[in-house]
Amino acid sequence: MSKPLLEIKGLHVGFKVFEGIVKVLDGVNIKVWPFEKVGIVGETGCGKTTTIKAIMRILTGNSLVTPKSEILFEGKNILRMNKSEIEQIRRNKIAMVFQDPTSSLNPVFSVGTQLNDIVKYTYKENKPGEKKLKEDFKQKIMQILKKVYLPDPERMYQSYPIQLSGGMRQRVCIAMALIGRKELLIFDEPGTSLDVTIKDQIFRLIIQIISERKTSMILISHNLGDVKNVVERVYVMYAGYIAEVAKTKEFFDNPLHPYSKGLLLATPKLSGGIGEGISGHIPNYANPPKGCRFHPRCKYRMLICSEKKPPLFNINDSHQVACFLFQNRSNCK
Amino acid sequence: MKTDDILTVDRLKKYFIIPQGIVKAVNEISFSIKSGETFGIVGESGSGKSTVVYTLIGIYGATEGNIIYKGKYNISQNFRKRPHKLKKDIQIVFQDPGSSLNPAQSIKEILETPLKVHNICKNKNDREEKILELLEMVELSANYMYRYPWMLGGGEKQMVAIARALSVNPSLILLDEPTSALDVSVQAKVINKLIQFQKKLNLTSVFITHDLSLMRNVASRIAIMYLGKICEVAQSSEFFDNPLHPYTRMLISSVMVISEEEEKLKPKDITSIGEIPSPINIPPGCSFYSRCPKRMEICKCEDPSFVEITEGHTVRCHLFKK
Repeated sequence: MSKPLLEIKGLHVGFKVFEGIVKVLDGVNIKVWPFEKVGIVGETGCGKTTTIKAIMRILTGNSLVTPKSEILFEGKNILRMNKSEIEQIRRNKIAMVFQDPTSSLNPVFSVGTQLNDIVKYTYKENKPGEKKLKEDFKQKIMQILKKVYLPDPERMYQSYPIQLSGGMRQRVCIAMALIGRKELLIFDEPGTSLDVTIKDQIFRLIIQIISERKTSMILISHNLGDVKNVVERVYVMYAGYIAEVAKTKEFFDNPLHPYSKGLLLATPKLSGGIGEGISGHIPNYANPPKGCRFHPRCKYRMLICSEKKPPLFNINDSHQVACFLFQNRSNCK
Repeated sequence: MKTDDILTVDRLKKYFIIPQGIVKAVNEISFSIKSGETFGIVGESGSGKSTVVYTLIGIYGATEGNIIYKGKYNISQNFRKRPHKLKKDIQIVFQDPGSSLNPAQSIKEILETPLKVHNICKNKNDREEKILELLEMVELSANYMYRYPWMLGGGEKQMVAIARALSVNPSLILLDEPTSALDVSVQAKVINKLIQFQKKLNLTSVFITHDLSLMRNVASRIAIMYLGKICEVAQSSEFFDNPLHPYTRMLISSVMVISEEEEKLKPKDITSIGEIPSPINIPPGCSFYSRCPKRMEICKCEDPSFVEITEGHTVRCHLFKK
């Protein structure tokens, strides 16, 4: 078997705040194989965005990453890289599309200027000072704008973000991520701030681009529907840890973790039917519950749940659950 | 006009004048709501669904048209001109509980205000009893009375907002995307509670959301809005089993679903294209013309009128003209 493209091992991230240290991520393990589409699902505040910010090394100043944590990209630890190495990663290897296209574009620069900056940043080594360069860049941008199906690229190039609609802005953001040959694309809730019909279009674009370019992808979402239609493997996150990992089909046919089950049931169905939901809310990270962080909300909690943190139990090769209910069904540990 | 209609909206218009022109946020819409039903309004952002509800509650006065409440009161004007006793009959729950609850007031004060304003209880003790009753109804314990909104989770805050709306025994409750700020697991809780109240208190409600899957589960009749106009009205089951308007079909086909059963409901002949145009200076003809995959020559110049397909199922589209 080949090596994973990205491997996150025991990632612990905390934030220093007035109340003390809030331990948000509590041992996250994620693997992304080359050319694989991976989804991370979870509710607000479960640490999805913190995880990918850690990958890109764009966490805020008050964050604390435990020294034992590892994020291996092509075998090298991103967390231990120096500035030029991490820039190299951002330039050529990993790109990210953020949730809200309005706030991730600079309102005072035109789309063309912003894209130009990224093209310059990406192709920095390409002999600066060459005369043809400027025309070259523009051509590259036009190609990419056409690739994301933006109408009238020439006009787009000159317009400012405020002149574009939400869907168009998101397309510009995706165009930015496509500059250069990135090996991993990260989409952080790309459809959340858009209307259903626009979201549908954006997802179709994403699926098309990923299959054309054959890159790996991480899709972050709180909507199970998005994930089901796009990715191959699903990670369910709850309160800073991975609750369940499975192939998409297996996850939707046979969810095991009580949280995954609750989440699937709570999703309203187009054909009618809505489950009862999960009572309680996500824990306070300054003082998280002992043992399994889900146990105060869990219907099936046992004595052990409040004492020990459940490891990931193997159900089969691709399906793992962090829940003591499956302790005996697992075939290892 | 039928006797069991609690609210009749007749050719309602709400225009806003801005420097760039006139925004026709609500452009001649008519519908009526029967007592005891949940009337759903779906649409993308900018379609005018919130404006309709704000006009019903009186935040805006209508530009033109009538809103007849219980067959005798015309409430199309601003709330200042509305009789005091009618104000309590129609209540609203807003989208974001974080900003619709006063952060400086305790839950007790928040729930007490409508009771005072509308003289529901005689004295202080009565009021306190009523507040406890309300809290119990939304499954919050008595000690929440002295907490402040920021101490509560999103779902709990929305429950307080619902309790506040129900405190004056309204006969019509307007729900403006009450769960769009909440997570799915919490949303299911709130929705189930709402459905339960509706059965118990025999409430009539107007439910607004952009989430079609959610709409299926709460509404008994659904209207779909596009650029200030209603495109299609039908009973909930009919609406999903037999969608007719191209826009309805486009919306349903765009929903991301999680089971095969739902996948079958999605129309396959249509894919979403284009975006909702700016509501300023809308061109003549059908407002959906620019995005419609089945557009014809006539759609460009003539605005279609409503056609009744089966009883209670009306569509505003030239494709179905008899």
